[in-house]
Parts: sequence; structure tokens; C-alpha cells
Amino acid sequence: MKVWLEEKHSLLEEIEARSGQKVQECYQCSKCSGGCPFSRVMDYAPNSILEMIVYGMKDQLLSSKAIQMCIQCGICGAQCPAGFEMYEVMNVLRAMAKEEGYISHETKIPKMNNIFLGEVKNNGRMHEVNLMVKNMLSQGELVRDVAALIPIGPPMFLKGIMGFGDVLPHKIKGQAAVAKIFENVEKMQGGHA
Amino acid sequence: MSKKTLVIGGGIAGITAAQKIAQNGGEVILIEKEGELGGNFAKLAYTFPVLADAKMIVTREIQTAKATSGIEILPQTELRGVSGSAGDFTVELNSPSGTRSEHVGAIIVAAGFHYMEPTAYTEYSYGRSPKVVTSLEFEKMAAENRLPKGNARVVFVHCVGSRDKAKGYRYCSKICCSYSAKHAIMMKKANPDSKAYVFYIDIRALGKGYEEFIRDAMEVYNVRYIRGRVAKVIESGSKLIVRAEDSLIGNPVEVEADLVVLASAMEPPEGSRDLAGILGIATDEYGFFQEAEVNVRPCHSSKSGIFLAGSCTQPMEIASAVAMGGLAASEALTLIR
Ligand SMILES: Cc1cc2nc3c(=O)[nH]c(=O)nc-3n(C[C@H](O)[C@H](O)[C@H](O)COP(=O)(O)OP(=O)(O)OC[C@H]3O[C@@H](n4cnc5c(N)ncnc54)[C@H](O)[C@@H]3O)c2cc1C
Ligand code: SF4
Ligand code: SF4
Ligand code: SF4
Repeated sequence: MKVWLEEKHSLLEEIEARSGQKVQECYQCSKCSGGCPFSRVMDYAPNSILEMIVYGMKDQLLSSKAIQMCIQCGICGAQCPAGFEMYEVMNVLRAMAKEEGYISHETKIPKMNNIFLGEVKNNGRMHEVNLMVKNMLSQGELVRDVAALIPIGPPMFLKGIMGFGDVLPHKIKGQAAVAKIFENVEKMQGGHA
Repeated sequence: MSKKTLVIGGGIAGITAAQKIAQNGGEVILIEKEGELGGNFAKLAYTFPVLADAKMIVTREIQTAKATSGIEILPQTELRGVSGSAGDFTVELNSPSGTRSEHVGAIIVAAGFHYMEPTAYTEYSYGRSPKVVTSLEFEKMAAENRLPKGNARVVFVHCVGSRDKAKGYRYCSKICCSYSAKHAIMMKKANPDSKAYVFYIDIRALGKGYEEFIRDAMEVYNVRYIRGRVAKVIESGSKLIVRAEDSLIGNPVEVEADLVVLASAMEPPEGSRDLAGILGIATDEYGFFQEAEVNVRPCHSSKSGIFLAGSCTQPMEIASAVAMGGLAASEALTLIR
């Protein structure tokens, strides 16, 4: 792929203005992507998204799956050495994709996202996916939604949630399966339930 | 006008300054707050870029200082007060035997650095798992022959607390790329069955032989370098899982490890702002002592007659601390002669 560095960073400027995040402050250390539960299944890792913004790769960005996959958990921002809130950037990209008529053929990811975004709206950002899931369960949305959330994506996507090397059930029914989700999510996050 | 110089701090910078002044006919009072001379150098097992025997070298330099006439060494001693001006300072020194007052013409501050405790980095399990240690602890483990045995995997993590304006310092600690390579090589030499991994953002090894030293770690000792800042260290049974994004392939990677070594930041010495207050000199935004002019007066503090040497001004390796010690000595001699 050939990329051109535009003299005027119009995309960069627009995203910085709309997100309130200074993309240029990023160290490109990729710590965010290492901690993002979905990096493995995103077509572009979060740190690459930032680099693509600098390059002005608007078309690739707005049609990417990655921007739809971010669930705003904020894990990346909590540990970012630049104090950078990636989800703000992801939000702006998602909004731009919508405004400019980029249609995502992915139907399952947005559905899952809605569940997580609802959670963020109701209870604030938790920085830990397992806490979010736990909260959702205690809200009564319960097994049905969590179960609905799990078998939606391609297998690789599930691995992103569960951590690596886990063998995943194809269909999840009932409590036992949910318990397994927790176990895996907790493992993935270093045992901080 | 007093012909004596007070040197504060008995690390390699202070020892060198004291030696050079005395060898050129000056008189020195060298105060050290600890019981022994040597500072952080004395905590090292080997030194980059040649894997020299650290204990041997530092012991030799301490012996030379002790054997040189004109140097009075006062351990467990700290500065309590200063009055007067360049060429004619009165200093109050406090040691276990009591307080004494001395006249000195010049003062050299060589108070060294403090090694950051990376307790804020809970994502690295530091303080939670005994298998996550700092690089300084690794030096101790190596000196005491306690490095992992058998086919162990050891992961070295760069830039912990450095290049991190959110939880640490904005600056680069300058030498951790080099000593992490040293540690990986030490690991492979002590235990050829072990595997060593280094996670880096970029490799900064600026000094004679440093780049070659790091390339040797890769090419001769088969240390695996992975490009990405570590995101998490997770305890998993008796092992640790190190997770990062390899930004060169754009995919997350995980390494199962038996030991994780954090290259933590070199920070200003404890109490540097208090000491600066007593002396009436400036510190920078971090608390390192501020040089009057970075390029050609690196040893001048903001006050005439008070000079700076070594890692109390910025993170640096031994060779630079020695060079600064020598320059500070010559600045002091210029003033008091
Ligand atoms: C893990 C690690 C590995 C390293 N490996 C290498 C290597 O392989 N090669 C290399 O070249 N460098 C290495 N270094 C760097 C090396 O340790 C430093 O360059 C060197 O110690 C700097 O010497 P210094 O005299 O400036 O400071 P220090 O060694 O810190 O000495 C300062 C002295 O001043 C004393 N002091 C402080 N405040 C006061 C006070 N108020 N009053 C009286 N005394 C005081 C302290 O007790 C101490 O003895 C390494 C550092 C670390 C952390
Ligand atoms: S963790 Fe922060 S500084 Fe590092 S690449 Fe991600 S956004 Fe940039
Ligand atoms: S907010 Fe969460 S999902 Fe979104 S990029 Fe950051 S870590 Fe990934
Ligand atoms: S010397 Fe290397 S490891 Fe240390 S802060 Fe600088 S880049 Fe990071």
C-alpha cells in the first residue's frame, strides 16, 4: 500500500478538535494495543489507527472494523503513558463514518457494542471488561444478553474477549457458560475481579 | 579564602572529584550519608559495555581515594547549613559524632540518583508477585547467584516510569536500554538454557560500543527483542504471562515467563530539593540539580562556587559521571587556587 503524507493534516486536525485528544502526543509505544481486549481481532490495532490518522488515511479508517469494535472500556487510556483517551478518537471516527455514509456490513459487532456502550452510559467507564459484564448481569440484562453477546462474531473475535489460547464453546447457554466467561475474562485481565 | 573543597556524595562522581582535587594539591572533605562509599555503582555486578567486574573497579577507586592524602572522608554525614559565598563558605556538617563547622572555598554536589520503585505500575504486578523485580534487584540476584535455573524464561521490560508523562517522568532514563541488554547477556551467560526477551519502544544506546553491545545481545546471545511497550504482566499459576502488542506485525504477543525485570526510572536523589534549598541552588522541574548552562557549563550550578557532578543532574552511566567529576574538580581548583 502506498501512502502519502499530506502537507495539510486536515483529518488529523479535525479529529484532534472533535475528540479533544492530541494525537501528536502519542509515543507510538503500542501499550494500548497490547492491553486492548480486541486488538487481536481488529483489522488495525489502536496504535495503528493513530498512525493512520497522521497519514490522513481517511478511507481506510472510516471503513475499518476496528473503529466499530472499540467498546469504550478505557483500558488503553488508563495505562497510556501519554494519558491519551483512545475511545474519544474511536468515537469521533465512528461518528464520521456514519456522517459520511460508510456502511458497515458488520451487524453483530455493533450489537455487542450497544450493550457495552449502554453499560458505559448507565454506570460509567470501568476500565475492566469483567466489571462491566458483572454489572450488566446484576442489572437483570443477565444471561440472555451476555450469551447473545458471545456467539456473535467470528471465532477470532471471541478470542479477543476471552484471552488467548482459550478453547471457546460455540453456543453459550446458562450460568455455567457465563461463569466460564468470567473465568476467562478475569484471567485475561490479571485476576482483578 | 579557604583552599578546601566540600564534596557531597561518595558515589563514583564524588570519589572521582575528590581524587582529582587531592591529586592536584587541593584539600577535600568528602561527605557520604551512608556508611560506605560507592553509591549505586557498588550495587552492580557487572558493567556495560564490556561486562567489567563492577565490585573490583569500585573497590579500587574507593581504595585510591582513601589512600590519597588530602581527602578526609566522613561517612554517615550530611550537610545542615551553608553561609558565605564563593571562595569563603562556612558549612555545618552533621555526623553521628556531632556537628562541626568548616570553612571551604568550593562545594561540589555529587548526590547521585534514586531508583524509582515502580509501585504505580499495578498492571505489571510489581509488589504483588515476587517474580516481578526491578533491574537493580536483578543486579543483586546476579551478584548473589540467585538467577533462575534450568530452561527459564526471563522478560526484560523497558521504559518503566520513563517516557511516561501519565504515571512517571517525561524524560528517557538514557541507560536502561544498555543495562537491560547487559542483564539479558548476564542471564544467558549464567544459564545458557534460559531464554531472554526484551520488550522495547526504541533502542537508545548512545555511547562507544553500546550499539555493538546490544547487537551482540541479539546476534551472539540470541536475546529476542520485541517491539512494543508491555501492557500487562499477569500472574498465572506459578508463571507470569507478559502481554504486549508487537507493533511490527500489528498483533498481540504473549510470553510465559519465570521472571520479569522492570527497567525502572532513574530519578533525582531523595531530598534533592531540600539539599538545593540549604545550598541556595536551583533544581529542574523533576528535582535534578540545574546546570547554569547545559552546553558548556554542565558543572556550574546556579550559584557561584557550587558545582555539580554525576547523576544528580540527569540519568547517566559511570563514564559520564566520572567525566563530570573530573570537570567539577577542575572548576573547583580554578576557583580556590
Ligand atoms: C540497574 C542499574 C544498572 C546499571 N548498570 C550500569 C552499567 O552497567 N554501566 C554503567 O556505566 N552504569 C550503570 N548504571 C549507572 C550507574 O549506577 C551510575 O552511572 C552511577 O552510579 C552514577 O554515579 P553517581 O556518583 O553520580 O551517583 P550514585 O552512585 O547514586 O552516588 C551518589 C552518592 O551520594 C550519596 N548521597 C546522596 N545524597 C546525599 C546527601 N544529601 N549527603 C551525602 N551523601 C549523599 C549517596 O548515598 C550515594 O552514595 C546502572 C544503574 C542501574 C540503576
Ligand atoms: S499507549 Fe498511548 S502513547 Fe502508547 S501507542 Fe497507545 S495511545 Fe500512543
Ligand atoms: S477503549 Fe477498550 S476497546 Fe476501545 S481501544 Fe481502548 S482498550 Fe480497546
Ligand atoms: S534508555 Fe531505553 S529503556 Fe531507558 S527510558 Fe530510554 S528508551 Fe526507555
